[in-house]
Amino acid sequence: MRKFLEGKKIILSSINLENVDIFTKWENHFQVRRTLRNVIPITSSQVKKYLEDEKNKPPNHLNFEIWYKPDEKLIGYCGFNFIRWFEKAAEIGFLIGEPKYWNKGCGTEALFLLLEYGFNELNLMKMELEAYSFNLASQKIAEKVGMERELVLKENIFYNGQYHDSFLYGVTRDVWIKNARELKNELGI
Amino acid sequence: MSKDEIKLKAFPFIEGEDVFLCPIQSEHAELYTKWANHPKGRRYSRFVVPITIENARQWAQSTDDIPKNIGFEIWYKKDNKPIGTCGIGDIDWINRTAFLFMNIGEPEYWNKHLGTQAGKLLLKYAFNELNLNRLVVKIYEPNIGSWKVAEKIGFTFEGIQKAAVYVDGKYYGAKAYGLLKEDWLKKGS
Repeated sequence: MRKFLEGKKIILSSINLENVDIFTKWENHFQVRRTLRNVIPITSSQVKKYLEDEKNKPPNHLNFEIWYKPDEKLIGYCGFNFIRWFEKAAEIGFLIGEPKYWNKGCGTEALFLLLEYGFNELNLMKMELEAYSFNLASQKIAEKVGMERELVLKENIFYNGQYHDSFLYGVTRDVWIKNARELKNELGI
Repeated sequence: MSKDEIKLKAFPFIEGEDVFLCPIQSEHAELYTKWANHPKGRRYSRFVVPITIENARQWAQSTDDIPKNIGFEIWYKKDNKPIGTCGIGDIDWINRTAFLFMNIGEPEYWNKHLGTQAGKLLLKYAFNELNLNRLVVKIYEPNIGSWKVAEKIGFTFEGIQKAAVYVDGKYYGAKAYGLLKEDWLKKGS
């Protein structure tokens, strides 16, 4: 576990390309991929290529591994999927790839650490996250870390034979600065 | 399992009762070549020109963002080994049609209804996830096993293309089958 950002139950560490097979397993696994809405199967060489792109300075996207401290286990990843350096804004996302670690507050902690890092260290002004209407957990997590539902994108996602809405959540720097300390206490980080 | 088989990685993408479908990987090119060149199997799969490892590797590496073909490896759960390939080919995203292909490369796994299982999983994937409207298969008359599979999974016979293929010194016809999403839904997915 190479510690980069630390929470109470989880730590975020830089991506270790040796874990590429684990990431590939999550991207393809039928239980997990619905939350990512991965419709086309992904190979480990594609995952590797995507992660190698993060060596650019500054990168277009930046990801971290999520490790569960008590078990010292790699359980997911999170990061900035698309950074718009001119606007100082980014789209963020997270995945807990091991279903055993769902409903433990790991997603909430990971998202909080990511927001804190984005505002305090990457000097961003705004972050956004897209949550699908059928993924209630991701919506709850976005709301718990102080993000606001800014937009409803109607019938934006085709999943399991039907069209579903997705929601665009956002948080600006001002709102974050106002709420961060209280949030941190509430979440026990 | 032989030493070579142990090196193979599976990233399950779609799960069935006895099989699961995993993404095609260029690292497994040797296996695809073996199946494509198998003297018994290739009569029905119509690989008249032997496929080299390079061909197989190229086929496995799709570089398009919007793929024309999506291939899967069929893994037999009980023996934890890959037994063939299948997938959706020649995808026409505007007209929303595509071909279904299937090749159980290991002859000891023929006649076990695994083709039917994999076929049903592919139909659900093509209609429910890729949002396609019409699927077609073209089966050469001598390949009785395959027409049975096509009919079992719900395809409608549309016609014979006379003298479409030359096998072992004679011309044979090709049976064309089609299936619309609305008919698949009616038949009870």
